Amino acid sequence: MTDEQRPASPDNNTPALAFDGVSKSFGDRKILDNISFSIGTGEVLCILGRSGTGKSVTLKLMIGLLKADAGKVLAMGDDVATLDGVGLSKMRRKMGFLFQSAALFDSLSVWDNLALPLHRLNQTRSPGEIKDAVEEALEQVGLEKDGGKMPGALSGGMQKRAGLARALVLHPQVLLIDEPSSGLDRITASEIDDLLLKLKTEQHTTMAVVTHDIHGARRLADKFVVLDQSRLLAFGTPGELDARGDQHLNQFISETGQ
Amino acid sequence: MAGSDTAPIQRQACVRSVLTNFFGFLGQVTLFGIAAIRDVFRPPFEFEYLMNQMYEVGVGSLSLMLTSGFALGVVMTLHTRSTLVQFGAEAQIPAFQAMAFFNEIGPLVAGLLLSGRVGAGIGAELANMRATEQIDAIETLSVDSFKFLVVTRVIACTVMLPLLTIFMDAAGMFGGFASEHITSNLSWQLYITRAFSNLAVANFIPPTLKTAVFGYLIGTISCFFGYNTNRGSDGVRSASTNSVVVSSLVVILADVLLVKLIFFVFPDRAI
Repeated sequence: MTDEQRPASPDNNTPALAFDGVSKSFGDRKILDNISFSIGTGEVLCILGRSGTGKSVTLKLMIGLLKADAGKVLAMGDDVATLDGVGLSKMRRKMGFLFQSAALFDSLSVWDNLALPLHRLNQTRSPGEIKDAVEEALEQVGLEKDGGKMPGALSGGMQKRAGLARALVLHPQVLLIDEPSSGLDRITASEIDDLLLKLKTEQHTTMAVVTHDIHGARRLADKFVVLDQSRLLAFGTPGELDARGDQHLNQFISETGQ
Repeated sequence: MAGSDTAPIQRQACVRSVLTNFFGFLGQVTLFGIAAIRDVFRPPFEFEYLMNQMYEVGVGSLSLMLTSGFALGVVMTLHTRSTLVQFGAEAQIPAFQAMAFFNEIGPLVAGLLLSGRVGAGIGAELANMRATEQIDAIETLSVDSFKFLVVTRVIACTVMLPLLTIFMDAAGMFGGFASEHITSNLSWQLYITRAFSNLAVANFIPPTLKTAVFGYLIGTISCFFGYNTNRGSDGVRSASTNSVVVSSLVVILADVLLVKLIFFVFPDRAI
């Protein structure tokens, strides 16, 4: 592991991820309206809300796949909107992204999917080191025997785990995860949650997780962001949100998680 | 009365809109193609993926080119024989065949076949990758998706089409020989001697090299439609269709310009 890849120790003084008055629209449709929140290094943020309220858009803004119409998106101290191609590439090397659909490259085997970023970004690595890194990531998600398979030959849950392995293979400091448990059975979903919890406690990986699984979110999250109708309904620790005693919010969170 | 007054204005607005869209599209494709050329020389170089694409474009299209070339060669010889026999000029069939294939039929048909087979494939593949967020995934891995997906495909089409054209020319000549051999028992040696008696290198090289331009156009246009779509399965369908239609049309139009250019550079061939 190089210094660049090594996860930083927990430090909540500098926000690892922050939104400052962020708005985003697609055509006439407002997706996010003046959203502000921040989390420190090593913290886990769970983003909750009904479908279509801009949760996935929030993640894509964080990694610079989309640009905000207004406001600032900060990732590890960088203003994402001001980064050029090289700056964006450097920032993304410290981040991992698991897409809702896993988004594996269907023309490459699972093994090659994981090796691709290692070949491109760590050209000084020997083939043996790349092999070790890929096998380590596959083992983390329990797919050590499935590396040779093509993505089309995997079940939805296995594709999700392969996607997570690809996000982990570069040992990111920040992990962005879009619905890790959607389409998975309870046992596999719980295994994924355990893995994320391990990354949080052992490697202090900063995470932003979009989820509908409220039980998993409560196990994992240091902070909740609750989105409703393009606005920020609530932001805070689970304890803070519970302590508010806001029945509407509690009901919304529990309904969102169903 | 008011309606008849506004009709010319509406027509003007409609014409202006069509022209704006057309030139807007032309500008976007041109910039896309220029960016592809510029990025060829910018590291990192995707040699491994480029080899995969060259294999896919070249080896994957070879059987189509050979079969089509052979069939075209047979058909052309059958047609020319029935005409030339009337003038007692059937001895000229091999020369006619060689001239037609090397100058025009081989390069143009190879270009059109490639735009059908590879252009549709590239358009559909990239559009599907866009729809399933695979291109976004490549970006999140700090890999330049344009260099990785577009530049490699444009190079593969540009390099492989001239080679495929040579195979198509050879298959066409062989088809012509097979037809002549069955009809008049013409020997292979005599067929080749007659075919190449009036053919100079200048007859062969420029038309074959012009297919590199066809390949570049097919790769660029197909990648443009596939890479820039964002409309799910409907986008995949339209990217595939547009790739074939537009690249075929552009190949034919480019052929007109390139033939004029070849005649300008080699004026003795324009006679």
